[in-house]
Order: sequence, then C-alpha cells, then structure tokens
Amino acid sequence: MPFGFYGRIARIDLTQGHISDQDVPEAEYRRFLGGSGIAFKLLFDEFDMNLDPFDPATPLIFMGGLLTGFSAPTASRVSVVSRSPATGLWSEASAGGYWANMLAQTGYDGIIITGAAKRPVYLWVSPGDIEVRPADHLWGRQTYDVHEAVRAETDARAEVACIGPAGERLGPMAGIMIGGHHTRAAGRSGLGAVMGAKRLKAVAIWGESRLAAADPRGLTETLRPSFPTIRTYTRLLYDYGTPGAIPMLEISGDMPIKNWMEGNWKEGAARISGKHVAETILEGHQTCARCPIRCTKTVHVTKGPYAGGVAHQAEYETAAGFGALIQNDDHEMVAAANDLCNRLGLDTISVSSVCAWAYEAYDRGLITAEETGGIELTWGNGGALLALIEKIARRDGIGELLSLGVKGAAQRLGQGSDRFAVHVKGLEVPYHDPRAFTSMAVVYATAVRGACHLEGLTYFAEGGAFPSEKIGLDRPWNPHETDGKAELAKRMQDFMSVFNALGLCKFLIRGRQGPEEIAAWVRNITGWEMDAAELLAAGERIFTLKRLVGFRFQGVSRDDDTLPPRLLLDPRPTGGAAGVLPDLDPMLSDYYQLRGWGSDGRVPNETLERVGLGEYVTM
Amino acid sequence: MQVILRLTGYLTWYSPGGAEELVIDVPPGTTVVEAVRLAGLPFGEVAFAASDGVQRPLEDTLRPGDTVLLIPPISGG
Repeated sequence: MPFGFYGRIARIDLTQGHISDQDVPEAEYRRFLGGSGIAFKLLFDEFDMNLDPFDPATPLIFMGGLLTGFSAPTASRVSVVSRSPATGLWSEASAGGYWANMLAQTGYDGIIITGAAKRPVYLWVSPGDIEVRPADHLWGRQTYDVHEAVRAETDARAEVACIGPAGERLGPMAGIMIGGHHTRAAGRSGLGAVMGAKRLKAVAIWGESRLAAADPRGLTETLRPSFPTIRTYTRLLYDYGTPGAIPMLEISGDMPIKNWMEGNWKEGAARISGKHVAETILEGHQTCARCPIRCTKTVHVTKGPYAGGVAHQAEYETAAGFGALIQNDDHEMVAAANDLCNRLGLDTISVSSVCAWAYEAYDRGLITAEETGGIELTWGNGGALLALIEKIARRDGIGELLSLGVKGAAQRLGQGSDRFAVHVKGLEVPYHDPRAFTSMAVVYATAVRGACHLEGLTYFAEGGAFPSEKIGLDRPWNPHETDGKAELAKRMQDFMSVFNALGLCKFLIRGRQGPEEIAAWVRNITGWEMDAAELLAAGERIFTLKRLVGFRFQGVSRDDDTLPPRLLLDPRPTGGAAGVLPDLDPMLSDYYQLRGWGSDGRVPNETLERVGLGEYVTM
Repeated sequence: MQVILRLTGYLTWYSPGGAEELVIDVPPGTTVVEAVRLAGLPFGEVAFAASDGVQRPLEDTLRPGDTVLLIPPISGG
C-alpha cells in the first residue's frame, strides 16, 4: 500500500446492485492529489460528460482528500462531485465534519455511485463489506432523523451523509447533509438532487483501517510550529465563528444588503453578528476533525416549529443571506431558518438568495400576496422565511417557482426580474461583494461551478487576512482598483484548488499557512519530494482540468464568464464600497492571458501541455 | 511613553468595556504590534495600522504620543 492513501475506490451500481473496487495509480495521485482533483480526472477519463444530471448513468462521487486521516490541521473535508442540476456544469461541493476522516478508515479513498435504485436505498460501508439497504422507511424524513435512524440500524459510530425532502424532490438547491444536528453541508449546486434521482437516501460509513504516513516523526516536527500560528491568527473564528466578521464586512461594503442594493446596515449587522449570537443563544463550541481553529458553534433554536432544539450556528453566508440580504435583524429567526434548511436538505446560500429575489419581486409588484399564499415578503420580515423554506423544499405553491433558484425562477416569472437575479452560470452569488473587493469579480466570473467565493478567496488577501507574499505577490492591495487583480485571482485559484484535493479547510490561510507549509505535510505523509512549486502546479492542473470539462463539453465560453447586472452596473449608494463598480472586462483579458487561454476561453494545446494535461490535447 | 490605540470593527469586543480608544504606557522602542500585545488585544486580529491617515507597518516603532488606528482583517466564511 502506498503512503498516505489506499489507491482504491469503491464503485457501486445501484441499477444492477453491482459492487466492485477500482485501483487508481499512485502517479495520478501525485498529479491530481486526491479529493475533487482525482474525481475530475476519473470523470473525464471514464464517463460520458454529456449525461444529464438525473440520468442514472451519471456518477456521484464522494472523495476524501489526500491528507484526511492524518493529523494535518483541518484535514477533514470530503468532496462530492457530479453534474449540477442547477447549472448543468460538472460541479463539486465539499463539507467538513467527521465523514471524510471515517472514510479514510474504510480502506477506500472514495466511493463512485452510478445507476438508480428502483426503491429508496442507503449504502452501508463497513469493514470488508458494502451493502445496499432498503430505505423506504427513511424516505420523506428530515436529515437529523435519518442520521439517528441510520446510526441505530448500522453502528452508533457510523458517519452519515444524507439528503432531506428537498433532494428527494430533485430541487436544484438541494444539498447533502452530514452529521445530524451538528450539520455540515455539501450544499452548493444541487448535488443532493442527483442523490435523490438515484433514490439514495444516505451513505453511512464506518471502519478501523489506518493509513500509513511515510515519515510520521517528520510530520509531527513539521506540524509543531503550525498549530500555535493557526490559533493566533484565527482567534475571532474560535470566539465568535464566521459571523464574528460581520461588523467588518458591513463597514467595508463586502456584505450585501437588501438584495445587493443598499450600502449600510450597521445596527442590523451588530444584531446578527457572532458576538450577539454568543451573548444570547450560543450552546457551545464544536469542531471538525483535526481542527485547531474550532470555528463551529451550536446554538439554541428559539423560534419556529423546532424551537427548543439545538442546531449548528448559522455561518456567515447564512447569516448574511437570511439577515442582511432581506434586512432581517432577528438573529433567532436566522438560526431557525438555518436549522430548517439543514433539516430539509437545502443550500442556505442559494435559498436565501432566491428568497431575497422574491422579496424584491414582491416589492416591485411582480409577485403578489395571493401568489405567495398570503406570506408578506416585505423587507425585514424574517418571519416569512420559515414558510418560504418549507414551500421551497416541498416545491409547493410559490415554492415550486422559487425551488428553481434565481436563474430559473426569473426565467419563468419574466417581467424583467432577471435584472435582479444575482447569479453566475446559474449558481447564486455568495455574500462577498465584488464591488468591495474587485478581485472577486474575476473569481466569480471564472469559477468552475458558477459563482463561488471559495475557489479564489481573494478577499482574504485584499482584506489582510492572508499575506499574499505566500503566493509570490508581495504588494499592497487597493480593494477598489483593478491593478494586479487578475494575477491575484489566478494565483489564489491555483492555490485554493489544492484544498479540496487534499481535504483541507480554507481557513488555514487565515492561520497563515501557505504552499510551503502544506507541501511539507504532503512530503511527510506521502514520501513524495513535493515542494511548494509542484504543489501549486498541481493546483493549476486541477483548476485547468475542471474548466476544460466546462469549455469542452458544456459549451462554456468567455460570454459565460461574467457577472449579473446588479454587480456590474449598480453601485452601492453608501458605505465602504460606495460608487465602486468592478471593471471586469480588462481584468478578464489579463486573466485569460495569464492562464494561457484563448480570448474566447479555449484552452490551447500548448497550455494543456504546459500544465501537465497532455493527454487531453486535441488534434 | 504614552501612545493611543484606536480600535475599529470587532477589535472593540476585546477591549475593556468595549472601549474604542486605549491610552497605554509602553517602553521606548515599542512597535505597533508589541503595543497591541501590551494592551491585551489579540495581535493576530490586527491586519492594518495607520497614523494621520497613512498606513504603517505593524513592525513600525512608535514615538511618544503616537495615535494608531488599528484595523482587523476581512474574512467571513
């Protein structure tokens, strides 16, 4: 067995009930590392890229990262890869928690699921065995219940990934939920609906295998200085979680307000911030596997149908979406909305975005109270969220329209409502404003899965949370100017592309961990002589491969690499980013040139050769 | 010598009584980041410093009577 990974993936065909093992050569791990890197390599080489997301033959891939199972800090993340029903693009979503760590104890690096069961099923992966079990009794049930029920039927120590009612109904905003009420979500781009189309309710895993590191003592020594540094620079995340940053995000103009129309919301921001949550409804601090940061919190749910329960704290994105985006300053309602989405299996970013779109449509008279079933979508009315979320999950009434996401809903409603539908390539834009940090315009426009902040995370560099000299750019950044932003986006995307491949959390960069530190962990674990340059080259290779899939098979071109009108044409009226608009086109030209892509988005053969993807050169 | 630290954003969450301004005594030769530590603030949460509207490195040596604006990083999830 190689060091650091098994080189083995389980393959399950739900149509035939056939289960087999697939070996993946070590050379491919060195080129694509693991996680979503390996997953995209297998996709490209072994599957029909034109399959519909709900075609039974479409694969759904769960992959652990190369470093999961080891003591590398934050090495806890699983990547889920398939074709998105929201965007039509081959996509990925990732989640922390404990699932990936358990996968590393099963003897498999990943699981590829194809086919579709006739009746609902769940998978049970245990030492030496994989079972496809009936799940009729679980169908229709919420994720927390499913988590407990599957554990009761399998092993109390099992880790469970499952879908809720939203995934069963094939909603394009359905996510895959892990960990019961300690929810971690592989939420984005609707991969829960792919699972639903396969009638696969859950994937439960448990094992006791142990991966071997090439140099365990060296790994301990390498990690020793990292832990205190990470803790020092992530103090806010421990104390108040991701919503601790909300006051600064409001001041800088980064947090969107009133469907991206307003500039300031100071009092509201204070009320939905991590500090106010900590002072009122905090239940405790939690953590993902192997994480010294411990940003996760649990809170008391005090409103809605599940008042009295305990749930995962709304992360920043969720708090911004169910708070600032509709001007709802009731943090207890934010907590309840988050809890409800997690129970029903919905992505909180996409759902909150389509809710805000609906509030604006209501405000403009394009949606009426009669159409909402009497729900008043007036700005600030957080109480409307719970009813909307239930309807979206069940695709009932107004929920049928909204369950399509902002792009689909605006296309169906018409009447100019696409003018305020904030998405890129069909994926709703997360809550970091490219008018506040212009590099994010390039990141959103070029991200593989549609609007994704995590594929670049350049606002960390521009905002002082990550020293960009660690990726070779030792210079100050003016958040509102465009100078150097294309290169920042390109370099950060290459660096960020190794994270889902290695199974690492991107908050490591706030803890001042860069390519040098991470390459050392890879060396100690795998025994490969990999330096920072080779690691970043792997990142560029992985990113290019993912974009190549979109360019070659889904017809993505430069025309698609753009932003919605609200972010290109409508400046924020007040606040830290007042009057700023990102000048996307010249940044995009610079970016394409830096990547070695044609001006239309084509990846020339010489670029494929340069980044180590020579097998995809076309004649 | 005496210097003044002005806190922005969530840095006030870490100051006594939520104070937006701290007046502290520091030894000569103290740098900005050392003053932040001496004030009992989490120095890992200070990204930028400025005096008289001009950004200065966190390793800059303070002079008596300096007023320093401290700005935390932008992050979020």
